[in-house]
Amino acid sequence: MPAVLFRSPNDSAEAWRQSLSERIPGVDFRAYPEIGDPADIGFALVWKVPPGFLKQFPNLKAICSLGQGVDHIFADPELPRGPHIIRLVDPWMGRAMAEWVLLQVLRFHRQGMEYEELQRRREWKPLPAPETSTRRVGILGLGALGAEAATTVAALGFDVAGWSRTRKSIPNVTSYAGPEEFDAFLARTDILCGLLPLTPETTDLMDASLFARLPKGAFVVNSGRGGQLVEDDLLAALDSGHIAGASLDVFRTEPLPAGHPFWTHPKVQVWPHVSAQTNADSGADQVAENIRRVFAGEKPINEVDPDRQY
Amino acid sequence: MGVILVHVAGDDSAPWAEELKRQAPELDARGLDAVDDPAAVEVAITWKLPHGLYRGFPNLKLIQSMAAGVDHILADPQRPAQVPVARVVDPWMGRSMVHHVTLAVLRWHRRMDWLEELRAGPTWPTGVVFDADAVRVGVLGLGHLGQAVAKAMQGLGFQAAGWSRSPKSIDGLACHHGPDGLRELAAGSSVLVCLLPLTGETAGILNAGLFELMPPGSLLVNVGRGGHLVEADLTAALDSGRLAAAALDVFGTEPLPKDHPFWADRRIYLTPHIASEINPVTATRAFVENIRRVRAGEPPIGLIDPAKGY
Repeated sequence: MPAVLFRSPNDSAEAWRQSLSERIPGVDFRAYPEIGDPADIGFALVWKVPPGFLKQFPNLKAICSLGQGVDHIFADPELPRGPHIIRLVDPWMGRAMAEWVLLQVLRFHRQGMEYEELQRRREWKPLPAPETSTRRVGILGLGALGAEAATTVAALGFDVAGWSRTRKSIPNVTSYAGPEEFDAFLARTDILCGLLPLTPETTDLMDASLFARLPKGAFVVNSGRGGQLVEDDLLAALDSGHIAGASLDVFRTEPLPAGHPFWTHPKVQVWPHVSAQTNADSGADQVAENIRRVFAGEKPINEVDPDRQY
Repeated sequence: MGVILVHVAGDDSAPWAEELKRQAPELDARGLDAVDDPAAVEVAITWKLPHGLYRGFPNLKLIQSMAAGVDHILADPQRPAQVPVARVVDPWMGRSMVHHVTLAVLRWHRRMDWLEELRAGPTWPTGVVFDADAVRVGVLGLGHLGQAVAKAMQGLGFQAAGWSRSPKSIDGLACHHGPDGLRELAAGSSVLVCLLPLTGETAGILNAGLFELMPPGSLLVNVGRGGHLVEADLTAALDSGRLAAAALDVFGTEPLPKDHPFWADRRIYLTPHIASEINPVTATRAFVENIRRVRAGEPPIGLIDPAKGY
């Protein structure tokens, strides 16, 4: 059987070696830099490897991302053509992401920012109670993660809609589809949650023009990719008061550089890209199944279309 | 038809009387100042009516609390014992409580308190995994609000269990009761949510003896009454690390005095008794129904047993 290559700056090689060995006895697992003969490698399990790294394996049949996103793979200008590109769709990640999105929605809805400030000022001041049924949450992107977040938020009584390229049917979630319905989606959204994959079409999507189409006082949440947000435009919209605040988990440069204005902005909450982590145990079932399929010449699950890049 | 007395301590009662008249124009709703004949008062809708006043209304048929709790009424030593007392049963308040507790649990679970430390660095941790399976929520008090909170926690995939003074059986929820049951629940919970009524038996129930049974790094959420918590024991448990955080919405003295140490304690999320703020429209609907009931000789919804205190 061909070998499985592992390389990631933030995932544990030992945890993955163990979970895959339990599922595929005798798997030839090679953690970078102990690659051995590059011709042995048939399956690459990677996260953010340097450009040009993947072209050295002549017998590579599949490249599997260690996360939901595959933009880090397509960012490689020398990416070999031919191997299947696969992403991890991990049920644990969907739940973790839904939790994180719900936290941001509830914090804004329940006036968390105001109460945190009142506590700092030692001021006892009950604010008018917020009405849930008229609070409009908009999920940008209704893939596996977006759909689960939308369902979770809707279950708590919010008015939830989602926008995606194609129409979706999700109970209690209004579906807006395509560019022609984008303005209507934004106009009805008080809390915008970005959960899109990074593609050429979504790069810089969250810019001044998008913020201007949201109602005044809207809140912006992004846990898609940093490249979708034009950071200076968000700062301008926050400072003008049109956008009330933002919770961000992803940034154009990560780690967010010291001295970046987001770190000290009172209306921005910076999260260190922790909204949904891949878990070796729950992701391993899917990776093991795909290794089996690819080596048997079958089509893998969760394959990405290289033209659409998701 | 008699007078409906509407009294809200420390606040303007007029909007409540107006809402009552809007929904039921035939009712003679008045504030305390406008009551000229005490014998005409038929129903008293109150939040903290000064003690000793209830006994001055000889024809009173119902004391309707403007809160889920009735401790402010039962504490009046001269309260006429034969007059029924009812608490508010309003689904809107249940939703508000569910949102408040969910926010408190997610803030702790996703370590929101830690973001301030990161900002001060700034630092960027990697390899962080939040273990949703370690979130085990114990709900003290299994009335309407307690059951709604337990179900919501299960809906997010967290484990939940409950405790009440006397045995209860609720579909799909592990229920404990009595003193031994309380210790079992605390030992198995990383989060305790207090939703008990304040009675002689439950005063001071949140104390050092209970906290030390919980696993290190746990969370306390008090949305019952301030009298449930031994304040000095909470500070000691936070200092020892037994508890990592607390979310407090109720206090022994409200408003919380400016010099109280809780204000500046970064481990405490402090809110000014807003967890389940009453909604004038939906609560008034419940009041109108209870007025109709007592006039028709039917028992009011939310009738409490003064001997038990809830």
